[in-house]
Amino acid sequence: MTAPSDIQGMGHSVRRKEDARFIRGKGNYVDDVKLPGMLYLDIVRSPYAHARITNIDIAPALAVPGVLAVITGKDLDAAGLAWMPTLMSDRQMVLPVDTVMYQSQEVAAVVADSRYAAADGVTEVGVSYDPLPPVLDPFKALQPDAPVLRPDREDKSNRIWHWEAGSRESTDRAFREADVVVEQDIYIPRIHVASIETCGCVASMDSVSGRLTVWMTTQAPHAIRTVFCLVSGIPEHKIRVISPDIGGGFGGKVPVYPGYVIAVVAALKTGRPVKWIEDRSENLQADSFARDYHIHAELAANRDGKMKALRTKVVADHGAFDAAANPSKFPAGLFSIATGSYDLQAAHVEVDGVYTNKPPGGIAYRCSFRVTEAVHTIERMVDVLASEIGMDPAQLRFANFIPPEAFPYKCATGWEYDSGNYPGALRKAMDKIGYADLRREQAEKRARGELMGIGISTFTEIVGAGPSDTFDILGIKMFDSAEIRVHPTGSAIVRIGVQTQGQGHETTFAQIVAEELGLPVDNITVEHGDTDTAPYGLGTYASRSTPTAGAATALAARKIRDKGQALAAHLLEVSEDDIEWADYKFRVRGAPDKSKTMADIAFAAYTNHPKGMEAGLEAVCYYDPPNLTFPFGAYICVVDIDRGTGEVKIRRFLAVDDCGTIINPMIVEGQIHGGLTMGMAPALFEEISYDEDGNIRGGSFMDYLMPTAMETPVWETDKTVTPSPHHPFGAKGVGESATVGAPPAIVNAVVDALAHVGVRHLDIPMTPSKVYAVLEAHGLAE
Amino acid sequence: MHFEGRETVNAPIDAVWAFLTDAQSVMGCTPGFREVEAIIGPDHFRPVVTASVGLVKATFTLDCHIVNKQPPHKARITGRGSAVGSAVDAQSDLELISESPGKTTIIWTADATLSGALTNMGARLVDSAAEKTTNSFFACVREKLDAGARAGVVR
Repeated sequence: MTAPSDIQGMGHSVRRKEDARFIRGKGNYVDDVKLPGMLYLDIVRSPYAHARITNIDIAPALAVPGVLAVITGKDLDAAGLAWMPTLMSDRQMVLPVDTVMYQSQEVAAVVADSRYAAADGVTEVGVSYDPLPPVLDPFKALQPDAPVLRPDREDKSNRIWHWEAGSRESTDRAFREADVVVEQDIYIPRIHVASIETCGCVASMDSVSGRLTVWMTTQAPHAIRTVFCLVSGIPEHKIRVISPDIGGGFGGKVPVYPGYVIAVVAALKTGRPVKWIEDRSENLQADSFARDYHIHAELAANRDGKMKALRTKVVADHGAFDAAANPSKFPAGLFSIATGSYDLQAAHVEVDGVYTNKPPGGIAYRCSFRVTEAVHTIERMVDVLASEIGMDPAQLRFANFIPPEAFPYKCATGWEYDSGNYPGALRKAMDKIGYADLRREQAEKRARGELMGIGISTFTEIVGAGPSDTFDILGIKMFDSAEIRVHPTGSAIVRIGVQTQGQGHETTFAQIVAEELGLPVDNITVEHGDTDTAPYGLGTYASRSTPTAGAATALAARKIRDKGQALAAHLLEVSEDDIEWADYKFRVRGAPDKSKTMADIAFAAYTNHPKGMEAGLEAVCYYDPPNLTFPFGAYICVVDIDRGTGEVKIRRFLAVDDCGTIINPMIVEGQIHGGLTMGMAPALFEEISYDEDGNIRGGSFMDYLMPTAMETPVWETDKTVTPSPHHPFGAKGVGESATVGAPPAIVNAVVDALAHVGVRHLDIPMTPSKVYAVLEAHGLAE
Repeated sequence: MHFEGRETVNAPIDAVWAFLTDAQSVMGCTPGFREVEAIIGPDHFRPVVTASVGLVKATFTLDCHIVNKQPPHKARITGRGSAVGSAVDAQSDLELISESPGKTTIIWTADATLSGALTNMGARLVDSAAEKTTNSFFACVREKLDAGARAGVVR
């Protein structure tokens, strides 16, 4: 008999099943895959940001001992593979035929029988370039006299697309009627996910079966298999994509990179398995970047603080190819959620996507498709308005929150928020951190000349993409899936269409099944990432796993419970209507001591099922979410600024999160800790910039400061729980809340520390040198 | 990147001119110089030079031309080349002023575009590396020309 304490379903801090292998160094990553006869691929990259290739001399490389082949753009062009489609209906060079578009772009590839020989071969490939002037500033790229960077496109312009949401007319009207209008330029710089594991793959073609197997670092193995099939012409059943353990994805492992395609070509060309693993600098310099939004925002309000309308114009620098990974209908992702947690009567957002001579991307770095940029915009603008009208930023927020009773709430740009209690979360955060006391302390310190700031971010996310009528990637609808099979002795296997990169799916999805079926969590295995065995799904990003595949798992389990009900009636010799599911058991109504556990039912499903019923106990669900989910939170950050160095010290940071129903509180807390650190990173440290020649600044960890334990403060967390009304168990997703919500809290705190001298905005990252320059300009530097 | 400087050496202007427009002698004073791969003409040569910035080293084969020669007063040297993952495009203008029969001032400017690993791996170190290279180049020039002037020969 299973005691409920063994079940460890929803709400239990079950230790992560996957950690047993990770902490023992027994994880199985792509670079751990070693096949007999395997070759190694290394890539020649461009030193120029923009140049014509005049010649590639491969002979010296072929003379290097161990080098078997050198692949150039011309080779790929002959096979029709020099270009590949991006997820945004653009196309991207796999290897250039004649022109390189950004520094560190792939130019040629060397295949050798050892990693070292491949690297030696790379040094011997002689590439002659004729440099071209690079276009690096997206505003200059939009000027009429700018060189056209993508002559391969029909539209001879560097504007990739123009996109709008909301109503221009009603926004203009609200602005005309407003007492106060504040405006602000906000730049959210280019950053990189910099996951611990870089990207790579092993491609192997079985010459007997004609089957291609690719082990690769991907967050979306099924979508990748379909793309490979469509691009290469290899039938989909002859392609197997295996995404083994992944050392961090954060959106950076959604796109297809040239290296993957070249490795497959090399495997076909040589008839041997080929491994490609990029190094750290290649990863930082050439893989998809995130953010790079130049935002102009305006907020209209009445003098009493009632906010009326938001207007934003954005120039989005997408680099040389639009290789973002947004849903097809949303070239600027979900940026139109920029109205945030506030009840605005009107909003209008415009975004122009622009080509420049920089690496492609625009991926959703731990963020649901540009929601980070949207939250940064509105949370900054609320503080700018508070400063303009002389109101406390907390009071201004309370005066403008969407009221809890207004849900479901349709915002001015058309999204229907599912549920929320924004004042409840902020009140809890203010009480817990002692907001009034902090303000008193700040006043005392200010009088003594010390710089202390308090910053608030009351963000709302939009995650869980998404409903099939609106959301697709390359036409594939953004449903997700689960398949559950219960074995005769009451254990089970769950296969899901999403792919973990550290989120703890092997534990949380087992907990969902444990809760729904009353089976012990230890007896449930979770599998994912292998396209031969897992059901089709769109993968893990944009906090979508629990909202989509989590829902599919619960509903598949409920299908099993429906069949279990019939089996229980058969075993207990009562009518099905007399059976109820309670306390993780099927019980006879009114006679609770007459019951059957799911283990009893499972055994019967294979040994004693009634005539006319199929044997076995399994179910599949493809879940099409009716709406997105809207997690939210209230963050308060307290900073001290060193007047001698400009260093910002986060003294306290309290995150009150609401992600609906919680599956595993420990994992949620871990997600928030990691997310806060990843939110602090761009606020204070990280930026990839370019000099006037297109050289990358921040292309190695010498210049790109990723926070370690040294830079990270102690995070304080708390929660409220407002379930999603449309999700089967009320969950909303939490993986990205903290990354999205933290940066504006930190900026608002630093600006607040300097508000008394008239500082109203600072762009991130707020490095010591940048802050010190502000201190100097205002006579505050020591 | 733009650099400029002024150096005075104890040598007659013709000797300084001869030294600075001769590939072998100029390269002999260039830090990291390995060999002259080819001398294509009196004003066209291909030296092989290793440049290092911080931890990053790159060996360039440069294509150098001496142009706009106005002996013994002015000349421009251009060079372009690439190494694994890096490329350089540079030009330097020289002006010589005879201060006295045995004393010449060299006024020089240089503009260089460095691309790739050398800059993006060591962006903060490029300026100090360039300064170090320049200082050591002119120290060598001074030493050779002074010695040559003392011995009455320049070579």
